[in-house]
Amino acid sequence: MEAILDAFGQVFTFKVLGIMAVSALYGLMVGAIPGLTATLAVALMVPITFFMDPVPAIAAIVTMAAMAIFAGDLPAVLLRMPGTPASAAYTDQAYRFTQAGRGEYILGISACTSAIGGSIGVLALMFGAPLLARFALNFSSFEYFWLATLGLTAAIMVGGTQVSRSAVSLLLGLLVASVGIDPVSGETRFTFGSDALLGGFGFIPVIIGLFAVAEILRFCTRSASERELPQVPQQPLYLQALRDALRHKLGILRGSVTGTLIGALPGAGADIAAYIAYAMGRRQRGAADHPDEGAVAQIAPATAANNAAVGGSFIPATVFGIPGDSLTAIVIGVLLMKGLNPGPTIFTDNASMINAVFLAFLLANLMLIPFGFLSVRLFKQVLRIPQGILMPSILLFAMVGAYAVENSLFAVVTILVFGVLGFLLEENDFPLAPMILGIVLGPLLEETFVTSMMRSNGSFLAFFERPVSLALALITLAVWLLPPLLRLWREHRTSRPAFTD
Amino acid sequence: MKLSDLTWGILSLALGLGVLVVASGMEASPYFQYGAGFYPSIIGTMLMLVGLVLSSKGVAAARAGRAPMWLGLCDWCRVPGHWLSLGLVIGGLIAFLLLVEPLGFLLTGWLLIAGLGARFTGRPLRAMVCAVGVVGFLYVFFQQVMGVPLPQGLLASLGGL
Repeated sequence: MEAILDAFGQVFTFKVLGIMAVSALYGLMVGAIPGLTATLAVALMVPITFFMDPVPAIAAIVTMAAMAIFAGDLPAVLLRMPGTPASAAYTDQAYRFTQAGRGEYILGISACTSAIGGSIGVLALMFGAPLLARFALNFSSFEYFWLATLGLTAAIMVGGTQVSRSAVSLLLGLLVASVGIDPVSGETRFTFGSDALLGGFGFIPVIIGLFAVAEILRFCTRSASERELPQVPQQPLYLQALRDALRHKLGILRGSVTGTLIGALPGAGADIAAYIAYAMGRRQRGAADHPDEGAVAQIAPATAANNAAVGGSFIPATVFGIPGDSLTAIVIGVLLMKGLNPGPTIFTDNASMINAVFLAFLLANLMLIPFGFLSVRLFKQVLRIPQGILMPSILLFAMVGAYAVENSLFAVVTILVFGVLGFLLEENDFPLAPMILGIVLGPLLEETFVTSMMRSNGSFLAFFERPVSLALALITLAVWLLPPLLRLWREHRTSRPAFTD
Repeated sequence: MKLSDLTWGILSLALGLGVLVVASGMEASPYFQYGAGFYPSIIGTMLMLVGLVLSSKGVAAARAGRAPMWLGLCDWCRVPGHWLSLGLVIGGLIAFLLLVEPLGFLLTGWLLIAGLGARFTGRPLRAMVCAVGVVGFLYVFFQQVMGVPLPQGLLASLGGL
């Protein structure tokens, strides 16, 4: 309790609140620019937080994380271009409202449900994470190894694309993370005699390269007509939508709980939560009298679920240091940078600081309603900025940001290399999220694996001896083996009638 | 640019093999059972395995006529202007790296934004004016507010900006 009161004192200062307001506006603005994702907004923000104190820095990042999912809804609803994968589930249906001039209505619903869903997710995080942490205090390197493996497994199995492609992306991430100093023996490797690589690739230049530079390269491949954006005049329906949103109380609650639970699974994030909540809503929509009402009844749980999932995904992220998606992975990177090492002891060693982070997170979700209104107004202005000037400016911003953090031109080399790599991978349908998770989880995976191997004298059996580690191992193996077995079974079933023909 | 699954598979195989070769050259210290090369060699092996899977998929797809054997051209690849833009962005980044220390951040940054902006908007004058604003903003933000020393180059001798 004392820690929570202390946290209030840390968050409710002019400085922190001001920084949160600015980062919220910035996040919504970047999110509103079609083609620029919220993850990119966070990636560009990271170098700036490098120069801040821990609480304002993390408050800025979690505010961005809370805004990010809603920001992704702006271009999804108004232009049919989802800003984050989490908005993709309902983009088509929401865009139909925009074509009828009622886009603001959906955005109002989305802001309200996002605020409620996000708050429920954060409350689950505030009260659930310390409980889980108490349980996790007994975890040894074996359990952590399986948790990291489970997180990475889930990231490649549920990514939606081919498993082999996700696996390549993940292995590249693990490889990038292994450059520099070996966490166990302290020897250097893969530096090829370069001093700049002694500390490994900087996390910030890598993510800036993968998201910002790759996006600018992708921009180069669009023709002028594709860069022009269609616009339909929109009626001012935002406030009416806020009132109407509460009619869907049950749906919002269902979406929020679903989102929190899915987010809390290691390796699953907001996009999967939105898809599942949307699919669940489909069953209910038949009951509505009006088709518009039915569509809203389906969209509301999904917009609540993707925001709730952000809070949920912070549970494994703070307790075990296992992020669920690339956005949470970047937040973990910032926590580490600020000396807040995720793990069960974070709730005892840094209780007031982690509670301040959670509180800022809760506040950021509540800020969504007024800021959502602002951003809907802002969106029309943002669309006027010529993209031809904006993209080079983002490029220079990315370069200076990376340079500022590392204080060396090698950071600019890094963003170039990873920008080209990210562009090539995405062009060829390799997802980037497994790579980011690999980069963040790589050191943890290696350390827990090698120390476990040393403790067991090289015996793999020891990985299955402790009860919790056995359970985690079984879950991980199930995630690996169930999908191919199910596929085989299905193929077997469908091929039989053809055979008897 | 679309590389086929076979090409990606071979690239993964080669990368995995390279990792294995480099990792095998790392000697384990006498104080540890496992050296710095132990874990990378597992990643290398897995990269090679995934490379094999991708290659076999690629060969199967090419044989069935579903995909090209090595390299496919996507829609944008056929437009030379897109290649030029890509080259300008990558070339611009490399030029920035080479020029930022001799010329300084203000001048190099302005050249980068004005050049790329002129290419993307087709309006060089507007790009040049906008570039002044953007570079000025970044300079004030990073150098003055955040206290990051940006390379001054030429302008240092002209009055120490």
